[in-house]
Amino acid sequence: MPIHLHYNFVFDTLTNSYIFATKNSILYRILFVADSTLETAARKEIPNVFQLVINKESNEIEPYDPKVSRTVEIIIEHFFQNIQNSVLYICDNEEEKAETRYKIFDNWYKKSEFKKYVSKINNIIEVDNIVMYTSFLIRNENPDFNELVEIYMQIGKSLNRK
Amino acid sequence: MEKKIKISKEDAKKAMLKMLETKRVVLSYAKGEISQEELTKKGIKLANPLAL
Repeated sequence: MPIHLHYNFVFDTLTNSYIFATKNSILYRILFVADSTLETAARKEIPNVFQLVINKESNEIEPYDPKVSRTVEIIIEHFFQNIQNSVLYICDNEEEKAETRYKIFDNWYKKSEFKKYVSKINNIIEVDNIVMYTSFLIRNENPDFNELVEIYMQIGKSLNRK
Repeated sequence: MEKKIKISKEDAKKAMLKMLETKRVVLSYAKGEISQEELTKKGIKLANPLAL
């Protein structure tokens, strides 16, 4: 896919979010939030973990548009310029089409350029009858790679254990 | 030798429910349903990747 096939985006400093609009005038907002999931579970301070939240400001079904995934990819690439950053992504079954969104996110990753240097680990976790489809993205060179991945995997093992 | 990490079911549950709550609150913020002040009151901090 040619590298220029993406939408122009801006970082809105008022709302601390990336914003772009598609050719169908659908607005996307991408936010990164300081996340304490790993540190709450491991009971220790773990900086540079963020949650990625993607909001499509329309419920309309949009025809497949590869420029959307490429734009999100560029934003995530930018975020991973700091090798210590890592990202959690979650969809839950209270949202409509959570599993579909999760699969779309997975396809984005598989087609992305950054998969060469960013690992993605998946965990489907059930808590209080809520199915959470989660992913953890981390740069392969992250000095805490093994520890952070282990904590993330242990969360899943602990909750999915019968 | 690396120390094996053990996470209790209670801590894991607390962490995941907090993660989900954060996501839902941030989505409400992105949709304009709550203000940035309300987000801050809930202890949620948006990151500016340009400044990271």
